[in-house]
Amino acid sequence: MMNKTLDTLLNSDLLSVPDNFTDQVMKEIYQLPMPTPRQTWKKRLQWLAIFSSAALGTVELFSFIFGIWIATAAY
Amino acid sequence: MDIKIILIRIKNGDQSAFSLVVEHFQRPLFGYLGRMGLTQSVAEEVAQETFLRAWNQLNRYDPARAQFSTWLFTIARNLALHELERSANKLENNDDEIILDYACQRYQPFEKLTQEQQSQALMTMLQTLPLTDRSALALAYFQEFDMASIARIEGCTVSAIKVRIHRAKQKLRLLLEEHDE
Repeated sequence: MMNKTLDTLLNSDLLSVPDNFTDQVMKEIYQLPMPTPRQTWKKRLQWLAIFSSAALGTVELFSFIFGIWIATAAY
Repeated sequence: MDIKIILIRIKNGDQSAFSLVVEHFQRPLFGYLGRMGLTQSVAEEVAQETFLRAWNQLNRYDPARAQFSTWLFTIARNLALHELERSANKLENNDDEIILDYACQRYQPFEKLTQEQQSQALMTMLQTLPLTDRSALALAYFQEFDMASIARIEGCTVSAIKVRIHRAKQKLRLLLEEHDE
């Protein structure tokens, strides 16, 4: 008997949802920015690959210029 | 409600699609917050904050990892626990008042109280439960959740959840019996 009473009570609405609750929340939502896209691991890896390649390319270029300079400065 | 379709609509810039989420979850959310022992005004604030946080963190939600309801109620649980812990001192100060209210209802059996009085007495009783037990019990009465989902939200094992719910119900049953004596 007590179990049934307890279950009924716990299943009942102890609090009520205000009539305009959805409007109230949506009013706040409209003032917020759209959720920003999540950076996935794949995207992060892609960016990492681009930056690493760019860095390597720059090093290659400078070492080439340095090589030319060394070769020409010797004479 | 198909959350995947709603998420696609939001991704395409349709903010109003989120109102479907609010409509769908507001009643179970208020039910949960009520069983957590929050008052109407505090529950309204917590429920609103839950939906706002869900909106802000929507891109962090991964359907492959959890159901949307599990994710949403994890936010609600954290906010509710934070609110209850924050107001713990305030509640301690109001203990006399709570006991007085409870004492006033002792002269008639629980069964004979009106629905509103019963709800009021139950909320007073719920406040005597430890927060973790109360949260597990509150989640157990949301039909969409199985034990595994509750365990995920609470961050513990299924067997621990079963123990918490059993313990909470047992204590409430005892309090109800005491009330009737």
